[in-house]
Amino acid sequence: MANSMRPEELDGLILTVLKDHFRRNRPENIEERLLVRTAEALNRQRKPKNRVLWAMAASLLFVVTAALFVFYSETKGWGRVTADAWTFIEHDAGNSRFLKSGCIPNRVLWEKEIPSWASTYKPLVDNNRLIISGRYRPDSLNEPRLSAYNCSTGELQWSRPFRGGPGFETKRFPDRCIESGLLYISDGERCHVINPVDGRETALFDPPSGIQGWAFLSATEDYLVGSDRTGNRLFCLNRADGRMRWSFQTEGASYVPALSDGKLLIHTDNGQAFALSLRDGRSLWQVAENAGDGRSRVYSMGTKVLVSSENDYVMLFSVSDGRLLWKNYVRGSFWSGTAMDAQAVYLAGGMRVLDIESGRTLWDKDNAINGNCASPTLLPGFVLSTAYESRRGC
Amino acid sequence: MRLGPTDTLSRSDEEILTLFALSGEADHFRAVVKRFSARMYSVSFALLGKTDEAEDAVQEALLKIHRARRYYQNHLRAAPWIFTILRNHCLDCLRKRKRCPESRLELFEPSTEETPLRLLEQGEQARLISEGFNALAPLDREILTLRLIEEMDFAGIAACCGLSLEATKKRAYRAMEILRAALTGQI
Repeated sequence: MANSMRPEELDGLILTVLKDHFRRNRPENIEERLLVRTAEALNRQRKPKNRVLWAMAASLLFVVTAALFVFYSETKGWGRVTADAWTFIEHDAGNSRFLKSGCIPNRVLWEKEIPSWASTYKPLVDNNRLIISGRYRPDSLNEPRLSAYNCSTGELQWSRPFRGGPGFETKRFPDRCIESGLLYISDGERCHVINPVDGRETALFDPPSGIQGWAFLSATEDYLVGSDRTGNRLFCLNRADGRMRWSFQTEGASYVPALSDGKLLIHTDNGQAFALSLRDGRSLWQVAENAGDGRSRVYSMGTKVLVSSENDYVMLFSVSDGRLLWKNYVRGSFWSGTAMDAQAVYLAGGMRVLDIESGRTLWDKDNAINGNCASPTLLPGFVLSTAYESRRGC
Repeated sequence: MRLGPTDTLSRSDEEILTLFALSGEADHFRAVVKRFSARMYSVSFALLGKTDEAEDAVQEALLKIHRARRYYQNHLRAAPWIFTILRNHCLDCLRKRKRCPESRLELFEPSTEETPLRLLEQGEQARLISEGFNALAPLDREILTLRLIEEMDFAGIAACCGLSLEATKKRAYRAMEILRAALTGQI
């Protein structure tokens, strides 16, 4: 039949067949169906993306948490040694070694070989700057120097020669302190005032006329206290300009004083404890409490003053009136360093602790003590102790 | 910018696709689907010959268009860009079929409707047309579909297929000759 059709009839037939076929095979609402299907497919594709985003967010959260943990551990809690971790700091003229805040270091941040002989003399710290003074030693080739390092990195910031004079009979090393952002250091004859930032000397104070040498020193507020090279003559200068305020003669020699609540607290090697007014040098009280011949260090915290003598006697006095509160014998207490807070006295490098009210031993872990260790450092709830073993050192 | 039904109608293919390519918004994609999906389905069905596969192919092509929208440049004509994506996908499907010959289906399936055309289809002429259409090259099937089913002009078909106008007309003419010959039993 098709053979008899004209071409236009054939085309019409083909068109009819094809159109009908396509019409019948086109699903109803194909546009809507494809819209819905495509939208669903896109949503399915987005879900893995969401999962990836969630995974990325979780990873980010983990990284941030880890970073915060590291940051906290480095700066607050468990690792980073900051200026507060060191014992000789500003405003510790009472020698308590008690820090209101800070951290207990648990690892070595850096190590440096110190010029000259640093021995066990503890460093000073100012504004994340560690200042170490060396001691002259006749058998050493190294020149004694005063050096400043970055506390965190150990980077040397400045270094200058600092050779002590012959007047170290009493103190035996350059005594020093930091007060109000200035470093005061004695060379045995005079007191150098140094800017800790760059090591430049800003002033040089002589002892008052008639006084030979300058042994220990301590400073607080407006006062700079020192003694002559024997430790028998005490004096007080204006910290700002070095002008003399007063001097005081003692029969015995004093060694390490404490400044507290406007008082200079000393104990002499002939068994006399003194409290002098920082303002005018007037004796506020004087107590004879012999602890045997020898030097003694004085510590003060709040209303208590502690004396640790070279003969290993430990005595606690009332700051207000000099009343003896207790006296105890603790072997090795003098050379191993002491600290105190409102509750206890920490001896033997912090390994032996006495109740401050009674002098009774609270705890004692002193099984390795052989003396001559660094002073402990106190933080609220913690004590950083050192112990000495003959083979291993501190 | 949200496209309303009137906006969709008044805009050219290129404007609609460019809006979607630039924004990626669902509304603009919906406009693309509405504008092209019917034609895409016809071509897909012409090439693949089976409704479900054709619909799947269009959907896949639309997803590819969605993913590739950043590559569309507004100086290009929209229809060729879209139909190239669809054609490539359908040709991929056909290649897979060749690897699995048992899955190949006849282009024209028997109708179940009781119409005069059904009777015609079941007759000799429908079989001959079916065989003739199946024997056409995919590109010819696409051209014929766009011309006969979607009633596009040759210029549009040429653009969709990436051919010149003359080549498109020639291919359409030859394809019709083949179908006529198949119908008259001359091949």
